[in-house]
Amino acid sequence: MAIARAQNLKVFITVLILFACIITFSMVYNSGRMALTERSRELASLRIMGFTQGEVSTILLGEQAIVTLAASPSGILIGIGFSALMARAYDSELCRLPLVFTNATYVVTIAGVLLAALLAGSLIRYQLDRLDLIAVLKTRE
Amino acid sequence: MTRNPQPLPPSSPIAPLVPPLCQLRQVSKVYPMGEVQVQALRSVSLDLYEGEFVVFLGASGSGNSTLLNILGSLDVPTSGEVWFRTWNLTQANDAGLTLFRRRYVGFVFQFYNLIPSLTARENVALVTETAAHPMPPQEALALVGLADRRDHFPAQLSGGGNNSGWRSPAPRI
Repeated sequence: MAIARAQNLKVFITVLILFACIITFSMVYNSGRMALTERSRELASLRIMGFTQGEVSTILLGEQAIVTLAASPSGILIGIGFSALMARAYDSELCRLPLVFTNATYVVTIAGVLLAALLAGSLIRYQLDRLDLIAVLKTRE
Repeated sequence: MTRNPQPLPPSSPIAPLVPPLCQLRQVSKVYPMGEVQVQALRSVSLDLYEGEFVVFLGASGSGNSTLLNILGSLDVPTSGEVWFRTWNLTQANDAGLTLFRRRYVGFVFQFYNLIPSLTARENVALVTETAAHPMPPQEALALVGLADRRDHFPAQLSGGGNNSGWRSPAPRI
């Protein structure tokens, strides 16, 4: 009985981690995509004036990296608070989930966020490399 | 090993004494639009010399912009060759074309294309900092009479101020 409950918990945690990864990727990608849409005209103008793909990517993706890194500490704090709330919600006479954080928890969390950011950044970079420079010359702001 | 094409026969009685700065040879550009092939340029050959002031005139849709885009290395021809001095631009990759634009091409944008969150000085600095021998932004702004407006944002400048051609580092084209 206890083994079955532990198995269920494992599946539940795996699903939660999977969702967390998807949400992290979506958030970072969405933020980057919005920045690209808002600033594609500016970035394409810079490309026309001779900025390399790398330089233009550094402007956009550098900002995204700073935002991601700056948001990570507060994200971790919110995560700790949310975990505490969930642990309290499961606290009953039948079962109790202890609130345990190890160094591995932080490492896995930060690695997951960085991996998601890297993947989202690669997709944004792919789109950035395909900016239509000629269209920018023809369109008004 | 490819070599520069021979200059075209001079159209004026005063033959240029220097080799052309830019040469176009049999340049054609076709835009595939579904099943229709739109021929924007057909076998254009042209020599441009340093210091020349050249104006392209033509009806709308006659390929003026296409020709300028190819000369400014924003677009590549479907066939033919474009040379800048000894540099065959038709064989250059994206990095090469970017370098060419950065070093030799100046653009005056029809719709300003300034970065609204940067001041006039910062907008100019974007380009002067990428030039090999940059002109100080203040000096560049003074050349177009905008020295006193250096800390103003594009929205605070007039239409003419926005488009004073102040973002051309050291153009040859």
